[in-house]
Amino acid sequence: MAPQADARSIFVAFKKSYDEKTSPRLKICDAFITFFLLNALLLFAYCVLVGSFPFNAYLGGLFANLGMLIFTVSLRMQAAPANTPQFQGISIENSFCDYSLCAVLLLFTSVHFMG
Amino acid sequence: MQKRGKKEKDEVVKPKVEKTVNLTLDDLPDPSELKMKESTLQIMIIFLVLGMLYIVAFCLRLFSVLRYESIIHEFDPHFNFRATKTLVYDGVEAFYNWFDTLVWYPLGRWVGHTVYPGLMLTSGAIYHTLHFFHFPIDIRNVCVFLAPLFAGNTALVTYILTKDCWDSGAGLIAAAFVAIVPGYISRSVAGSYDNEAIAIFAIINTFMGFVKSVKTGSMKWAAYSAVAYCYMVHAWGGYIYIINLLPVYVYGMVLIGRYSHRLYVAYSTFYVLGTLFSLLVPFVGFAAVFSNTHMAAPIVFALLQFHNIMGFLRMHLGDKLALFFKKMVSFLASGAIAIFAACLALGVVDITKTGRFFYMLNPAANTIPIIASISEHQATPWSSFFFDLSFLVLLMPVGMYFCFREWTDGAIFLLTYGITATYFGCVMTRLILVLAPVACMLAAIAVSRTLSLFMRDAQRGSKQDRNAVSNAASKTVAWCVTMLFGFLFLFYVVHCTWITSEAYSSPSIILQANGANGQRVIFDDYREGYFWLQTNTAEDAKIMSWWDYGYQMASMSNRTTLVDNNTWNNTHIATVGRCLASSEEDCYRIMKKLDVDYVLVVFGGFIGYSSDDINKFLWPIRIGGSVYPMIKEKDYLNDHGEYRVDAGASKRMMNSMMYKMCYHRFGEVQTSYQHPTGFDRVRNAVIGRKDFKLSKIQEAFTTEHWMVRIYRVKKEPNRG
Repeated sequence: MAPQADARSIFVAFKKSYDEKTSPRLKICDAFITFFLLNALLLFAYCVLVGSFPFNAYLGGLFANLGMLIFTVSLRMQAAPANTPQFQGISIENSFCDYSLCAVLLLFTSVHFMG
Repeated sequence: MQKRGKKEKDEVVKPKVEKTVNLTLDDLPDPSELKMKESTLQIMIIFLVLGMLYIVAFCLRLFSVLRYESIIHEFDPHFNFRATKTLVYDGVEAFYNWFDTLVWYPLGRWVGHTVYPGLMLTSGAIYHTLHFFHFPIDIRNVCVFLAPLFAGNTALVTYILTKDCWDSGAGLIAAAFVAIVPGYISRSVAGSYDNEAIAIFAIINTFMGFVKSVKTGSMKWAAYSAVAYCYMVHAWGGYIYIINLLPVYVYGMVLIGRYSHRLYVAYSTFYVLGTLFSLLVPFVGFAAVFSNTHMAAPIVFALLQFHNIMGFLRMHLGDKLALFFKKMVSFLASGAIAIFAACLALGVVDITKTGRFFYMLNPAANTIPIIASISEHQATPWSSFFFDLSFLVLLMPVGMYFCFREWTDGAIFLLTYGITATYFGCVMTRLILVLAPVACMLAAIAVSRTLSLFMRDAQRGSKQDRNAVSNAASKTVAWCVTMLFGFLFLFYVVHCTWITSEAYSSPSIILQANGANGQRVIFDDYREGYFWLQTNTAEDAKIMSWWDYGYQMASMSNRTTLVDNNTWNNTHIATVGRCLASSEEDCYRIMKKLDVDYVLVVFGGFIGYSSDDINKFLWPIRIGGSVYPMIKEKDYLNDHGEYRVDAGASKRMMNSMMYKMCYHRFGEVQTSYQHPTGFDRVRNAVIGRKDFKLSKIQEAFTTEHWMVRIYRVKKEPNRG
C-alpha cells in the first residue's frame, strides 16, 4: 500500500478508537495537554531560531509548559476510571487538589525565573 | 465525576442508617474496638520513642562542648560560620551578592555563587526566629548546635521511610540505629558546622517523599519530595547522588516489569519540579540542565514518557501499532541523532570525563594531585566499616535478603539505595556518611523480621510442636535469640558512645594530651597564633600558609589569606607550594610579587604533633610540581629515595623555605633528655641543619608549644 494510505488508515483507526473510549472530561484534559505541548515546541523553535539570550526566561517558560503538561497527564491518569485500582485512596477531589498545589509551585517558580 | 461521587455518597449514607436501626443490647464491644486501643498504645509508644531519640541524638553529640567549649571545629565549618555571620548581619541580598576580598588574595572569591547556601540559610532562619521570640542566642551557638538538632530530625524521617518500606517496628529500630550510628555522628557532632549536618536529613527526607509518592501515586507527595530536593540542592553537593539514584531506580523498575502509573506520576512530577528548583541555587545554575553528571534524569524521564505514550497508542491502535511504530521510529531516530550531533557540535552537551564525579565512578584513575591529597578522599579501609557501623555491617546483607524476598516497590528502593551507597562507601572514606542511614534501615529490617518471628515463638511456643517438651525447647531457643539481640543492642550503644567520645569529638583546633602525672594538658596553640595575627598585624596584612589553614585564618584572625580549603584555583595553590619548596631567595621573589606580609607554618616537632606541615610537605611539592616543572619530588628525597629531615636529608630539602621556617632556632632546643638538642619528636630524628640564619624573613611569633610559627617578610632595603 502507498505510504499515505498507510498513514491515513492509522490516523482513522486512532481517531475512531479515541472517540469511542475517551469520556468528555478526559478529552478536556487531552486538549489542555496538546496545548501545552504545542506551546513548548513553539518556545523551543523560538529558542533555536532567534537565540537563547535570557536563558533563564527560556527555561522558565519551557518548564512551565512541560510541567503543566506532566501534571495534566498525571491528573488524567488518576481520573481515568480504568486506573482506579492503581491509585487506591485518591479520590478525584484529592487529585485535583494535588494538581493545583503542583501548579502553584511550578508557576510561582517559573515566574521567578522569567525575571 | 457523577458516577464515582454518587457511589461514594451512597456507600457512606447506608451503613449509618443500618446501625441506628439495629442497635440492641447484644452489641458488645467488638474486637475492632480493642484493636483501636492497641493502636493508640502503639502511637503513644512511637511518640515516646521518637521523642527520646531526639534527646539521645542531641546529647550524644555534645562531648566536645562539655570537654572544651562551644567552638566551631575543623576547617570547613569556619568558613561556613563566616558566611553565616555575613548572612545574618548583612542580609540575604548581601549574602547572595557577596564578593569576598579577604581570601585568595589577588583574585578574591565570589562567595554568593560558589557556595551551597542551605546551611547558612537554615542557621539564619533559626537565629531570626529565636530573636523574634526574644531568645538572644548568639549566632555561634546556633551554628554549633545545629547539627545535633538535625540528628533528631534525621531519626524521624528514617522512621517514616522505613515504615513505608517495611513496617512501623522496623521503622522504630531504624530510627534508633541512625540516631547514634558513628558514621553519621562523625560529621554531625556539636561544633561540626558543615553541610553534611543538614544534608543527610535532606537526603532521607527526599527519599521519604519519593517512596510515599511511588506507593500512593499522589502528586502531593511528589511535590513534597521535589521541595525536599530543593532543600537538598541548597544544602550539599551530594545532591548529585539523588538525581542519579532516582532515575536508576525508575529505570530498574521499568526493566524488571514493575512499571505502573504511580511510578510515572511520582517520577515525572518530581523531575519537573525538582529540576526547576535545583536551578534556583546559583552555584548549580544551568549545570542542572547542561552538565553530563545530570543527564541520567532527563533520559529516564524521556524513557517514561515514551513508555506511557506507547501504552496509550497500544490501547487505541491495537494491531496497527506495529506499522505506526516502524514509521515513527525511523523518523524519530534520525531526528534524535541529528539533535544530539548538533548539541555536541555546538558544545551544548559537555562530555569531558574529569573531576571528582568521574573519580568516584573510576577510582583507579586518581591522577589529579589536589584531589588525591585529601585524606578523606582515600579509599575506605575495611576496618572503618566496622568502626563506623558496628554490627549493622553484618546485618545489612540480611536485610537486603529480606528485601529481595518481599519485593515491593519500597523494598526495591531500599535495595537500590543500599547497593549504590555501599559502592560509594567503598570508594571514599567520607562517603560512609551516605551509607550509614541505609545500613541502619536494612539492618533494622533484618532485626525486625527476626525478632518478630522469635518473639512470637517465645510467647506461645511454635504452633507445629504439639509435644510439650519441644514446645518448651522452641520457647527457650526463642528467648535465647531475643536475649542475644538485646545484648547486641547494648553492645551497639556502648560502641557508639565510646567511638563518639574517643574518635569523633575532637575539635581539631584544640588538642589534648595526658601529662606525666596524668593531668590533662591542653594545646590551644592554633587559636593563640590566629589571635596574635588578629591583634598584632595591620588590617590589610596578607598571610601566606598552606591551604589547610586558610578558612581558620580568615575566620579567626580576620586577615587576607592567599589560598584556602576551597581549592578552586590549582595554579594559585601550586604557586604557594612552589614558594614553600624553593630556596629563600626564590621564595622571597614570589612573596614580593604576591604582596605577602606574613607566613604561617604549623610545626609539631616540639610536642610530637604529627599533622604538621613537614609531614605534609610532599603534597605542596607534588602540587607545585604539577604546574611548575622545576619543582621535582625526587629532589627532596635523599639518594636512597627516603624522605628525611636529619643529616641524611637531601640538600634541596634542607635549603627549602619550609624546612627553614619550621626548624629556625630549633637546633637550640632540648626536647628530650635522652637526645641532643634539635630532636624532632615526630620524625624521631635530630634535624640535619641546626644553625642557619634567615635573611629575607624574620621570626614574628611562635606559640607556646612551637606549633604555630609566624614570620614577617622583610621589606627590601632602601637603596643608596
